[in-house]
Amino acid sequence: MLRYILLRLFGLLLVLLVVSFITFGMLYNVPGGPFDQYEQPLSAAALANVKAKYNLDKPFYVVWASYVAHAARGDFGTSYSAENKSILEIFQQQWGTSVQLGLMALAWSVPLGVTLGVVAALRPNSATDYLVRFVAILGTTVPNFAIAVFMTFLLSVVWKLLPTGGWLPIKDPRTLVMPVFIFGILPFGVLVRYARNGILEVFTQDYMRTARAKGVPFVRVLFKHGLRNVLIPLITVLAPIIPNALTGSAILEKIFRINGIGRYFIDSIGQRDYPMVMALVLIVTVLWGISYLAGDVLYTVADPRVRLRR
Amino acid sequence: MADSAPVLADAEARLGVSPAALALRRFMRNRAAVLGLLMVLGLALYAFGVPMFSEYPATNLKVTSKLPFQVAGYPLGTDIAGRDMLVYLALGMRTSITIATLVQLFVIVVSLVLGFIAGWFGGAADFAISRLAEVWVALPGLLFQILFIVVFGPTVLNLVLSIALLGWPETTRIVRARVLQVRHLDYIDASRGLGAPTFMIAVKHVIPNLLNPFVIAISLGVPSVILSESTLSFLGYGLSESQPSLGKLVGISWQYIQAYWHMAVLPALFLSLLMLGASFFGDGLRDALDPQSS
Repeated sequence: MLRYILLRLFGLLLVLLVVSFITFGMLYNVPGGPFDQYEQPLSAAALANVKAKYNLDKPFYVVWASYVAHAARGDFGTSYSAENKSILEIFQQQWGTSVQLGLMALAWSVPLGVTLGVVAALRPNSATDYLVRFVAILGTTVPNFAIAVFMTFLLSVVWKLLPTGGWLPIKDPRTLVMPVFIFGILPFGVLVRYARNGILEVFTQDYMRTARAKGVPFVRVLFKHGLRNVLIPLITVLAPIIPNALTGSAILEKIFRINGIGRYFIDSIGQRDYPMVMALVLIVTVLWGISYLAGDVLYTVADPRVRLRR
Repeated sequence: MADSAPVLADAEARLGVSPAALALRRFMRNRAAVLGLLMVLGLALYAFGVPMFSEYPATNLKVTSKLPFQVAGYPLGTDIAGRDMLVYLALGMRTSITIATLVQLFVIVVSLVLGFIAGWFGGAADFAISRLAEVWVALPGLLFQILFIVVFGPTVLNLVLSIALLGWPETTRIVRARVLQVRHLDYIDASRGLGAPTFMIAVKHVIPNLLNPFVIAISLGVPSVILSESTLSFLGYGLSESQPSLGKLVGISWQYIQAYWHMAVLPALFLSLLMLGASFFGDGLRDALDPQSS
């Protein structure tokens, strides 16, 4: 097991190298540099000085190698746009909000999605089943920003119940309602679907019929045999859902004017803030890699028959 | 339905009904699937039909009210630049449909070629393609697309490429797995033994074998392609100013939602309907072609 985990982590390092190389190569070829001047241009000598300071006068693979060497030691450099602030400092300021948003969204959508998925599966083709599935399909198909438009129009413009934006968890909790609800609706829909299908499938198994036939109470059958078999598909879908939730939503943060990391990333590209973009891409890649690894390890906990091998 | 379908299929297959006819029958019996097909067809008819009868660009229309249902001749109102919404929404949907089609065509060609090469020849080619696909999946999707657009410019071709480049690994994997399964079937070995060229074997024997899962994957991917285009355009990294796009209209209309709600609500609504229709259709197609899966 330990060997497997170490191998996977080593693989993740290689992936990081490739991803950073691709991103770096693309960034380096972006039209318009971070120090292009349109009004009051710098003298050629001064521009050369600035470029030398940030290593931008060298070929791209040299800059990339130097970046990787620094990043390996935990030094992601300083942001170009927020002078004198290290990338890590900016992260601490911006990421907290995105994590709050993500955790709150998961806090309602994961338990509710699993519960309603199971409830729907226990009465297939009932009115409850159709209603739950309909909401789940809307949640997984309709784009987040479209849901945000409809809700803002109804709740803010027409009925004036909620503010149109902002993120003030303590001063005005009403600002949280729409972003948290909308951010959670996709995971909710996905979980309903997998929980429902998982339960429907397990209820066709012989051992379920045996357990019920020999008089095991229904609730016990459901929790001991039913839910246990839904765990594997749930781990599979949660592996991408969790890192996705924790890295913020560029769309919702833009719509509801929330100062989170997703919005910051979009702005960083616009400002050609290379170190910021690089650090974000790498951190997102690491989070995803670790999340998938954790999912694979959890398979062995959920189902002891699973053996990890590569 | 789920329980009886395979048995029924067996019985009818023995009676000499072709699999395609069976799939069509299953599809037509599925109400959600038919509804999805009708939604997509209706919206496509609107998207490609309406602009033919109007003189676009009808910009700077001077009307007494921009809101819908207020001025005769402009049932959906006009936007802030004085464009007829009825026409603009059609053009925006035309963009969505065109881009989704181009992306999936690109994905079809790339994944058939790469998947076949990886599965058929194996060895170094397989290793290279499979590892590339694995690393590619690790790329953060939206970030990659935005970078791609910023680097290469907001044209239709680049938008198509940026979305398609993220779509190919999944379908390539499906093609490769299926090629591995069938490449040593007797009649394929025989065909090879007779000296048939590889390209001919691929087209005549291998591709027909993987058509079902492939068609399913391609059609289920359509809504996410439409989502990618509209999301990029919404964030301001999609098509350029002159190209109509529903996502872009929602993005710029956000600030006017108090006064001109229809500028944001209508494109969001049409986009949602298009995606719901495509999604119902894809699900129905999967259930029809692969009844065991549901």
